[in-house]
Amino acid sequence: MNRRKFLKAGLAGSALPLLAGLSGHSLSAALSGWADGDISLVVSDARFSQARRFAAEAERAGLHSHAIDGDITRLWRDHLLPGWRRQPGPLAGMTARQPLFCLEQLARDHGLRVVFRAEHEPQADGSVRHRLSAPASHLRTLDELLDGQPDWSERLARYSNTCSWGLAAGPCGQASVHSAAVAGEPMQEPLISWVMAPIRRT
Amino acid sequence: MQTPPGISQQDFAEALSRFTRVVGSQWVFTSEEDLHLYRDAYSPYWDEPEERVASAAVAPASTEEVQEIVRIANHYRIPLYPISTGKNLGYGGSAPNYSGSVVLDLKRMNRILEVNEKQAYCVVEPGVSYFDMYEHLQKNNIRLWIDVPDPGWGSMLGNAIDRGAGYTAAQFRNHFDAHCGMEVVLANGEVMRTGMGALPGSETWQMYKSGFGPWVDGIFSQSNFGIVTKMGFWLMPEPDAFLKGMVHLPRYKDLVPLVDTLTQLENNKIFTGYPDLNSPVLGTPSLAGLHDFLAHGPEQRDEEYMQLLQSGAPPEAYEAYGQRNNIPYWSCSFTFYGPEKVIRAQWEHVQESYRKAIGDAHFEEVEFYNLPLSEKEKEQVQYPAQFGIPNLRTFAIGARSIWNPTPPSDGHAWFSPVIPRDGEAILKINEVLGNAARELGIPMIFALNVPVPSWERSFIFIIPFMISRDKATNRKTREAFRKIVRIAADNGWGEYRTAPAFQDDVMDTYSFNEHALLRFHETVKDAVDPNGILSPGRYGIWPKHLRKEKG
Repeated sequence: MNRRKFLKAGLAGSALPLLAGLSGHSLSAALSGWADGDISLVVSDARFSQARRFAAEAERAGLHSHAIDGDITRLWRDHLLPGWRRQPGPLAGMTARQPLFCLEQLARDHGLRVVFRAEHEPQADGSVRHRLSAPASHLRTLDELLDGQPDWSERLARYSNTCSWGLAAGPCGQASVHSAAVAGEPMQEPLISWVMAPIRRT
Repeated sequence: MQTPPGISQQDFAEALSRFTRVVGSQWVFTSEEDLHLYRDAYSPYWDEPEERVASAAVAPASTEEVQEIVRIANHYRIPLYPISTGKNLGYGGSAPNYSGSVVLDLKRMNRILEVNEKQAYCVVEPGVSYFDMYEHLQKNNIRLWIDVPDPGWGSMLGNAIDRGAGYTAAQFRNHFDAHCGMEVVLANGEVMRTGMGALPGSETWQMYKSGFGPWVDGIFSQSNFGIVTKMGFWLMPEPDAFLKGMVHLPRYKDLVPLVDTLTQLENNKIFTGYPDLNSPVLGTPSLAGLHDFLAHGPEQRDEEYMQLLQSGAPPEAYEAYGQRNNIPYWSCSFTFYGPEKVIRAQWEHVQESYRKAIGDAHFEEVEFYNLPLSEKEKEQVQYPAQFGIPNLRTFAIGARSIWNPTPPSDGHAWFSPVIPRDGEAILKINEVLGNAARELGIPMIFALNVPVPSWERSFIFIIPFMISRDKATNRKTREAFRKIVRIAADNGWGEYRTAPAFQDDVMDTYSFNEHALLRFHETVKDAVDPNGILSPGRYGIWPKHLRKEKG
C-alpha cells in the first residue's frame, strides 16, 4: 500500500461531527506534535479469526505482536507497565470491546489516548459495518481501504503501520463503511481496531 | 468552561492559575478531552444532565502540594474531589459526587514509601496500584503477599478507603481492617497522622493501630472528612503451602448446615482462606470457574435443565435433576495457608466436621502448592487473587450473553447489601429480592444467587445492575435500583458501599433514631470542613451550605 494514499487532503465540505476540543490541548495539535511515534506493539484478541489475521498481517509488515485471549493481565504486567513507566509509546490492536476498555483506562494514567478507533459490527446479511473515528484527513482513505473489502482486518494492520500520524492535520471525524464477509468465517462478535498514542501538550 | 456551582469565572480562573503555580501547567486539566477521562465510565446518568462531571482536574505530586491546593481551594471555596487511581468502576470511578468539583487526581503520588519484611507491613501513597506493589515485592524477592480485589488494577489506599475486599486470608481480605496508620491532609491544609504516627519519632506507626485516645481512622473511610495521603498496611507473610479442598452437598436445604459449620470453623480459625460457596446445579460459578463463565457464559446444559430454567422453576426444583446427574447442589471450597502438616490437619478437621453435620457430604482436594509458586504454577492456579496476584481477567467478558444482553452493557452498578452469615438469610434474601426483581423487570441470571464471603462474620449479597448508553434503559435501572435499596433496607439489609448516584438513597436507609448517624456525620463535617470543600455529598454527607438544597 503506497504511503501517498494516506496523505490525501482533508474532506472538503465534510459535515462529519468533530471529535476533539480545540483548547490548548487539542487532539489535532497533539497529533501534529507527535511526529516521531512508531507503533511499538500490536495487540490481537486471539479468540477471533479477524484479529488473528490482523496480527499475522501486522507481523508481515514488520511489527511485533502480542496475542491475548481476552485477558490483558500478562500484556499489562509484563510488557506495557514496565515499558510505559520508562517511555510511553504508541500501540495498535484489534480486540473485543472489554479488553480495549480496560487498556484505555490503564493507558490514561500514562498519558496515552486512543487516537483512532474503528468499531466492526457484524450485520444480519453477513457483511461488516465499520464505524470509524479518525483524523478527518484519513477518512476518505479509510473509506477506500475498507469499502466492500473482505480482507479488511489485514488492510487495517497495514494501515496502522504506515499511517503517517505526524502529517495528520485538522480535527477528527467519524464515518461508516461496509465490508463483505469472508466466506465461511462469519463474524460472531463486534471487534474494535484501535491505535493509542502518547498525547503531547501544545 | 464549566465552573463549580456558585463560583465566579474570575475566582475559578484565579484558583486554576494558583493551582498551576503549585503543580505546573501540565498537571492542571481543563480541556474537554482531558475532562472526558474523569467521567465515570459506568455512570447510570451517562450523557444526561444529572451526570456528575468535573470542571477541572489537578494532579499534585506530594503531600505538600496537596496542602497548598487545599488552602487555595478553601480560599475560593472550590469543591475538590480526591481520587487515587479512579478505578472503582461499579462504585463511581473518577467522577465527583458534586458536579463541577475539581478532581484532585493523586495518581502522581505513587511512591512505595516502605516495605518492612520482618514486621510484614508497607506504607504507600494513593497512586500505588496493586500491580505496582506486586511488582515491587517480586522484583525485590520480598516474601510478603498483598491481598487484591478483582480486578486488581486499582489503588491499595483507594480501595481500602472505600472499604473494598479481596481473596486471601481473612485478616487481610478486609482491606480497611488490614491498614495500620494513616496520614491525612485536613480541609484547612494541615497534615495529621493517626495512631502511633501522632507521636514524633514513633517506630510503631505501622505496628499498633489505635494509638491513644479516640481511634479516628474510620472516619476517613467512605467519607469526606480529609484527604488520605499515606497509609500503612499489614501484609501477609508468604505461607509455606496452600491447600484448597471442596465439600459437595446434594440437597437444597443442606445450605443451612453448610453455612453453620463453615461459620463455626471460620470463627475458630480452622481455616482462614476465602470460603468459596457456589451451586454447581444452578450454574453459579466458583472462583475457579469465574474466568470461563465471564468469557464464555453459562455452561451449556441439556433440554431437561433448560426447561427448568425457562419455566422459572424455583431453586428446590433443581435438586432432583442434580441428584440424577450427579451434580452437587452446593459446593464450598475451603482454602488453607500455612505449613503442609498444619493445613492438612485443618482440612481433615473440616471434613470431620461436615461428616458429623451432614452424613453424605463428599470431599475433594482440589489444589495443593508448596510456596512460592513457580512461574508456570502462577499460570495454572485456579484463581490468582487467592495468591495475592493481581489480574484483569474480568475484562475477558464476552460482548453479549444472558447477563449482558443487547444493547451491550456499558458497565454496571453493584447492589451490595450486608446479610447475616447464615444459610436461612441467603435463602430469605433470594426469595424477597427475587420476587422484587421479577416485579421490577430486573433480569436475574440464576435461580438463586450466592453471596460474597470476603468479610468475616457476615455476607455481602452482590449483584450487578447493568448500565447502558440508552437513557430510557438507564432511567428504569436507576428506579429499580432505588426501589431494591429500599426493599432491602425494609428487611434489615443495608448496602456496604454504593456509587455516588445512589449514596444519598443508601444513607437515608441508615435512619435509626431520626437519622442520628447522618446528623453525627454532619456535625463532624461542619467542624472539620466548615467551607465544605472536600467531596461534597460523598456517602450522603453534604456541607452546610448545600444541605438544604440536597435534603
